[in-house]
Amino acid sequence: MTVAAIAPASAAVKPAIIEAKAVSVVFNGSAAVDRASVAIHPGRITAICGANGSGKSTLLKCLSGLEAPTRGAIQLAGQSLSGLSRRQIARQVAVLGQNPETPAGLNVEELVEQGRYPHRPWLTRLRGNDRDAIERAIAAVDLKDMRQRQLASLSGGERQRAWVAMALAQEPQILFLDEPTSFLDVRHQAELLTLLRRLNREEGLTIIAVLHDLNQVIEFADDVILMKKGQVLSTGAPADILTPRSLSDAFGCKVDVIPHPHTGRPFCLIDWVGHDGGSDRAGDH
Amino acid sequence: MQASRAVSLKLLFSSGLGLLVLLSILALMQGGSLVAWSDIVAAPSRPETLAQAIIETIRAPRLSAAILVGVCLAVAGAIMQTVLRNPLAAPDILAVTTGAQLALVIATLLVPFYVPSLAATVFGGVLGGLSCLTLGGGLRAPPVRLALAGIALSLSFAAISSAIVLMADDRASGIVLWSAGILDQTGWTKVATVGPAVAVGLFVVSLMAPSLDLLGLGEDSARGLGMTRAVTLLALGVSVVLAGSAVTLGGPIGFVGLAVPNLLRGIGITRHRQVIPLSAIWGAVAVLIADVAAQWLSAEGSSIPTGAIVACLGAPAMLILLRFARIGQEQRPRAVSISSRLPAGLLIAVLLVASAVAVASALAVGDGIAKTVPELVAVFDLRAPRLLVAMGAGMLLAGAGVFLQAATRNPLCGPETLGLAQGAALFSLVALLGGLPPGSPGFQLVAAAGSFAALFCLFAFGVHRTPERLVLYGIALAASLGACGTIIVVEARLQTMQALSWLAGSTHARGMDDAATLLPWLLLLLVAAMSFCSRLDVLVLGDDTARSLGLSTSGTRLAAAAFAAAFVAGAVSSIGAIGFVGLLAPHAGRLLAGPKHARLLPVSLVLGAILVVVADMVGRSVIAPRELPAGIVTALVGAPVFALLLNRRRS
Repeated sequence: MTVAAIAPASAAVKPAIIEAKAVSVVFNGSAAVDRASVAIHPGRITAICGANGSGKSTLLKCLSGLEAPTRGAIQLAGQSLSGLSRRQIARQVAVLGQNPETPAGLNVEELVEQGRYPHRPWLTRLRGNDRDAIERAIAAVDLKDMRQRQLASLSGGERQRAWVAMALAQEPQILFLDEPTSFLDVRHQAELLTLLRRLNREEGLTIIAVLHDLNQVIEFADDVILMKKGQVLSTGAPADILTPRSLSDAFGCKVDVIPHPHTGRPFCLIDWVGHDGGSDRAGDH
Repeated sequence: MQASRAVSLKLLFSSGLGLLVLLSILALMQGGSLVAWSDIVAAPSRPETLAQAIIETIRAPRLSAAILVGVCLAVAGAIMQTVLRNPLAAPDILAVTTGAQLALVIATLLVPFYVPSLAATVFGGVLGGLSCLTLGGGLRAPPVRLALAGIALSLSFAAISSAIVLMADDRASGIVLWSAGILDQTGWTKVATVGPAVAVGLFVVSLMAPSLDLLGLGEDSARGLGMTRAVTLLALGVSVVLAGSAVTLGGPIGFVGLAVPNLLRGIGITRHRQVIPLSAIWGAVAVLIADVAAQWLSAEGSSIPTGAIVACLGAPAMLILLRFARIGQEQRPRAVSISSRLPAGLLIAVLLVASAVAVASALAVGDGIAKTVPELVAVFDLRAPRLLVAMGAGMLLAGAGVFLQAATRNPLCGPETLGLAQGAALFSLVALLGGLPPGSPGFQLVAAAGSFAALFCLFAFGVHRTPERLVLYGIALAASLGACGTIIVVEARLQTMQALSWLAGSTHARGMDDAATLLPWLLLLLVAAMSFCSRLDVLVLGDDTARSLGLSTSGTRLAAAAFAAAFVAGAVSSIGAIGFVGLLAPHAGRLLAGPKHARLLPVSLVLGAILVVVADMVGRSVIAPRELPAGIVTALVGAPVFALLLNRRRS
């Protein structure tokens, strides 16, 4: 299935869960996001790609309600985001920030407990259903054996999973992640993406992530939003969007796209060291 | 661009020199009508008049001292900033000034034989600077950590100095003058002894100007260009000698070394051939302005310390600095201090035993130790109210610390590092002057207005982009407010012991009524604690996370800070600005109970109470029948522990 820009065809099948119309965010006179219109569809994994400073993180913050757009409107499940209280948003949307701060001494379970905050009435303790949600979240990320461990003592990958568990304890319909793989080695990146994919496929969690690695995007995402200088260049399925021409437009460097030897999906080859060296050695082969 | 730079350089030199001459004339003519313009014009020919005598023996020495102090501090600051590549470095910030002051106090009051004062100050300055570098993380330490280590040490050194002065000097007023920086000279002796050292120092610095330019490029590049560690150490050594000279002449005067070079760099002057002489000129101008203002304000026989005027200007200078100067290498503390936890049973046992010991010793020990039951009964009426007041105030301060540290997500915040305590203390002094009886509702309201005013100053100017900036500004604000307090005490000739208790914190002569006035504040603390625990837990996860969990962060932060300001007001209006309890108790609480506020808050409150009770007990007993204010005792203990906590954060 091809998802075209704003995807009216698929929207007719399943209405967009988040819809941004001509959203702009202006910092100090310059637009970090410039009239971006996107639609996020439920149950899908959407990746936001683009060069540094192209407005990916700002768009993600807008869509998740952390940043109010200067202009334009965003709807969450048909309701205007600006009309919802922070708690109302937090019951539907969870956000895992880029390299979040961890207070020293907090252990895994205590962190995950915080995910119940939007569901707890004022001045009450955790109740049975809160406990259940916490248990499910810890089990989902496979940290049962480490629940009493302090966050500071965990490896980068385990800590990232603990944060995912906190977001899951929120019982959201939508999970936003800002560069979730940036500080992890390849194995932990793979583990995290596998976990997220499983949550998406098995629990129907809608996932929106800012990702840097184009080949991760092709394998992981159902839809891509490609950005450049605050504007949305194109949206759609990775295979349709990540073409040599659009990538060189978005990133300003030469990218070849070849079929993956095993899966047959597109595979991005970036020209790392300039045209001369590259073509020389290509001639040697 | 080049042309305008050249013009502005010329303008800076000429206007600086012009101002210097103008201020010098003003300084000579200041204070009574004894010296007229004609006397100043005639002075070089040395006529035998009274005016000439005044000029030669009082005013000219003071003028020279002021100029020398300004030159020394600003040049020393400029060198330290370059060598450490740290815009926050300055003699007072790096504990060099207070180290020198402590050595001077010891040499003058404790050592039985004569020690040349310059030798003492240089020695103390070296020790202070070295301890600061050691605690802050060495020559490559990140700027803000080094600055905070230095400030903590400074406070500790200042507390030791105060304790020594209080013990040696019967008049409590001595402490105010000793610790604030005064330029009164009796003749030329000091200027004559220090002058040559300053001249040699400045000569060496002028030779080093090109090397300093290289050091500014960073240690690695400088080494790559052939620079050695010896140059770094020589430069630091010279700067310490200059700072020591300044202390010898005028006592601990702050902020000049920090502000002047940074302001010059902020307007684009970077070559040391220009930075050093311009710093010297404008440093002298700054100190002279403060000195002229001090003499003008204290015209009626009282003498306002010049250092207090300088400190008053500290907060605005720091504000400008933090807004406009480029301060690199900033780190967000990724974690709130260190944390561990004891099992609940053990924790409760530890707290119970500690409280019991504190309460028992507070009742038993004081001016004399009560060993038998009748003796205890005899002193009970005197000591029990002080114990209750100390406990209540300790709880309030600790509660304020927990709320502030959560609201700012900053382990270095406390009522005293953000100026809230000093604001409340300053307003308390004003209320005291206005005739409001301490402990009355009006008095408490005025104190609350003080802590809220400090809170407003803190957050109204938008420097809190990083936690360290907030604390630095807070510390400057605290210094300014404290200096205003000193000026009020000197100017109004308040009964110094009574005033001192608001400046330093003391439970002297508190009765049951005072204990009762704390009750409403403690009730507020209870309500706030119950309703805010879970919100504080979410808040410490960081802004974005907290908001994505559904917490309105700005509102919660504001409410938490406001609660903290109220607690501070309650504590300060009853016992004065006791330092370090609010900063330390939460850290100690975290060590015992972990980071969750439902446990952390009650444990911190108990620890805060214990801390003040013990400090008060020590202060009452070590130099009985006189008393060391509890605030000096807490600073003595608190500042080093704070520095250690800072150090632990590195690992």
